[in-house]
Amino acid sequence: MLKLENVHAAYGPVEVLKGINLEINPGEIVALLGANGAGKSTTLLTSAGVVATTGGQIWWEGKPLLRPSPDVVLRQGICLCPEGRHIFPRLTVKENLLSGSYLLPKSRDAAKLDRIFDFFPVLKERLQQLGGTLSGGEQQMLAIGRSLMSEPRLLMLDEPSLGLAPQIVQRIFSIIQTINKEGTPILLVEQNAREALRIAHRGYVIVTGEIVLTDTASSLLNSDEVRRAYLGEDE
Amino acid sequence: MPKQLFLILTLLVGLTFAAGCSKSSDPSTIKIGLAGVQTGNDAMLGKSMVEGSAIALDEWNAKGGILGKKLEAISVDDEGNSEKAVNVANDLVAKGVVAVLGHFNSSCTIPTMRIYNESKILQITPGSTNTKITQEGIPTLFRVVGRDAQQAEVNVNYLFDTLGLRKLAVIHNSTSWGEGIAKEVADLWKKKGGEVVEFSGINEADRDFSANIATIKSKGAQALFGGLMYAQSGPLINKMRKDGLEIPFAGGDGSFDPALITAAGDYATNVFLTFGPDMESKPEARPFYEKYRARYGREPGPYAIYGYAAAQVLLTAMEKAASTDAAKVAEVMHKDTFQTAMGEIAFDEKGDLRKTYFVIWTVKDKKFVVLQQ
Amino acid sequence: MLESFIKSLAGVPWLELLITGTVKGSMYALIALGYTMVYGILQMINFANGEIFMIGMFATVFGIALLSSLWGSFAAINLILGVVFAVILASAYGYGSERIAYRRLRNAHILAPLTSAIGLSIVLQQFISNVVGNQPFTFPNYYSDPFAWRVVTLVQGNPATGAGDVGISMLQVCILTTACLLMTALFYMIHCTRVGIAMRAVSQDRLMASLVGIPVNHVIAFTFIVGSSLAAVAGTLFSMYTTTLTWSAGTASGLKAFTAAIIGGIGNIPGAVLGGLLIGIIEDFTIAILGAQWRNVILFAILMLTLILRPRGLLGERVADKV
Repeated sequence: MLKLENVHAAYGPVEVLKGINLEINPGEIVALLGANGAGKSTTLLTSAGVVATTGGQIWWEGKPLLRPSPDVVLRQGICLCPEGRHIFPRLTVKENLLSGSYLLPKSRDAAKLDRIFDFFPVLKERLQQLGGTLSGGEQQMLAIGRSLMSEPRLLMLDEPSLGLAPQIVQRIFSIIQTINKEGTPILLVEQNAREALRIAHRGYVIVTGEIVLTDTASSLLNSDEVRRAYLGEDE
Repeated sequence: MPKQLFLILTLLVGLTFAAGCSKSSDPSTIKIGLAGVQTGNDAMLGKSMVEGSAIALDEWNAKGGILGKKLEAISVDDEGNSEKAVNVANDLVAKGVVAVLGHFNSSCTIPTMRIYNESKILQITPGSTNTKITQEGIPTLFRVVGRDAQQAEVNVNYLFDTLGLRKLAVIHNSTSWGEGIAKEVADLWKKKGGEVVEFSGINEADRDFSANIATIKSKGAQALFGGLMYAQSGPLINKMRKDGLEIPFAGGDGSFDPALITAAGDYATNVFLTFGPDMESKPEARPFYEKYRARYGREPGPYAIYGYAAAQVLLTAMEKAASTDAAKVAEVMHKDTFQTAMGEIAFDEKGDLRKTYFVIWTVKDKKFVVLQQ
Repeated sequence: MLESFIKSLAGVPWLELLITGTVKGSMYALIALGYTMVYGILQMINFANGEIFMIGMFATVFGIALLSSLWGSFAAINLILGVVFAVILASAYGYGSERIAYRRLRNAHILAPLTSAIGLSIVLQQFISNVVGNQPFTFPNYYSDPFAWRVVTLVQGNPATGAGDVGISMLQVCILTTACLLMTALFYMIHCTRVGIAMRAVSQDRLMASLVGIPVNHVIAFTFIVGSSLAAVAGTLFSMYTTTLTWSAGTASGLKAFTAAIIGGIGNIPGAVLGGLLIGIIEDFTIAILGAQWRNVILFAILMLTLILRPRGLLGERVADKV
């Protein structure tokens, strides 16, 4: 579906992506692993139309992806749920969710909301609360819910577990899995490589702007190199 | 960013210079400055005044000019703003004018008359009525209109004696002219034993008078005198009638423009303004009015004929003195009596008209008419 | 000095000043909403908003003149269509100014759009001055006089002089009603519609709004259009109320409305309304008590005091309402 071909990107003079090649197929969860500053988030931001490419090509369903601005990318079906959640702090939970379906038919809102409340019942209780008053875990749920409101055909999640308690991370990862099983492919960037690889089908390892390793999730989990570098295990 | 700001400033400065650029002047002509407000709030009054002077200059040129030379009119716009007036006055001096017909607003004449005096340039103002102007003792300064002290008296006599009112509210536009005449009216009113229940100044840009009207209403005034120009008095009259304030509105020559009637509309009732007598009914003025309409295709403003007469006086005096020297021309002007479109004009030692009379005008069927007393 | 001041207070026609101040304040509020909405969404002062108000004045009169020469003087229809024309033209100016003067400076230093706004305001002012001439214009009496009748007399005064008389005219009622309706519609739009959610989302986090699919540029342009439309209607009402139009009217009223927005808390919508009403009432009381020459001294002293003592304004940036 999404295919990055030799993608380069830079912040000013600093080249961050030095020829990324990456592919996501329908139905997959793909994990993107790497150290801080390796270029994981930049890869997502580039695909979402936030950061411009300086070279290479991004293909989406066989055609070049149009990336003049993030909302245009989103209208083509790719939704990025960025790191840090970025809930609208002074919109209510309900308004936060509805902001995700701007420009989509209103008639589908109710069904989408029901589905999100099935995933995250707590949001239903907090419906009239301001987004900024939610706990970190609730905010992450809201952020994912808001992304789902835009009916993505590819969901990109950046660090969904950041700063959350372990049992909440478990919940969120199981829901990511459910979303995937219901048909949405997911590109997942995670520091928590172990959890990510547990639910992913395939994984890429990115080091200083280049893909150095790609394999199925289970072989990556068992690869010595990955275990040493990203799973924090000693030899 | 500072670069952009710099660019903007440069542009602005450049534009100012471009506007100030002077045409090269011809030494074989006699240059006369025509100065007055031609844009802005008082534009209607000042523009036709300057146009009136221009007509006289053209007439003389058609006759072959004066002292063997052609006349050259240099028309400048002071925008009714005293700072701008000083600028254009300096411009006129630099261009070598021998005399200036202008300015219109007293607030423009007062700062510029010293400039002209220092440069030995003769000045006749066709429109400035502030009493102070002729009190400085400038020997080469004249005016062909009356003084505010005179029109204040006519106003007060009418309201106090004829209408028998005792409580007066006074409002003015805080300019030399407006505040000057307002003070003269208030002083005279008190001298006569009347009560000034409200005396207040407003800004020239103000267009919303509801709070002033509310105050005047609450003070129980029986009449309102406005030291205002027509651009403010028109809307003020309209608003006060709509707000239920039905007392007479009195004003000076600054309010005397058809635009006042346009603005006040059907509410222009009980309006009494002092101005010179009805010129158009004078046979000697008729050719001028015909000429003006033919040339400009519109009705002349009330001050057009004053501009014309001022030019007539100036040029006649120059011919008589056989010189353009301000002192020599002034000498003739102080002595002689001139036949003009406005009738006979003679000046006293201060440069004021020997004989002036203001009359009360009122509005009838959306036209100014002289009130028959 | 003090004694005479207290004496002058006793005679202040407070009831009538309250009415005139509220009426004027409601018009300031409409302009202030434009400042506050644009600030809320872009953190930028759109100084040209006052000029849009002035353009609204002239557009209405121009529209009315055009229509009455086209098919005659049908008072109500021409007036309404004149207002519609003013709103359309003002919206076009608002949209155009955003596109031309601000969009490309959105990520520039904060002084850049501010300077651009001041520049644009001068351009618009001089443009109108050059096009229509810079003498004052009169709002056609034919269209404003029908509103002059007295709806209610609150205090019966002396019918000959008007002394002590207090009442409310149809035009004042219409101004207040129009302002209330527009403000209610605005509140509804911001709080109960999708575009309102989108506007608030953009104001809180522009990048994130774009990431959830909100076309940020359209929403910002829409904000300018709404603000300009409100200013245009205020312009029509103001020119009917004062019966005159001048090319410089936008600066005076615009600055007061801007002060109103600051006093209420810039970015805050109810704050702009509150600030507008306060400014209108304070202005009229100042004129009555201290004289008209003091109105700007007092108003802008209040502005400075607000900035020093309560920089976020009376209602602060109370957030849920920020657009």
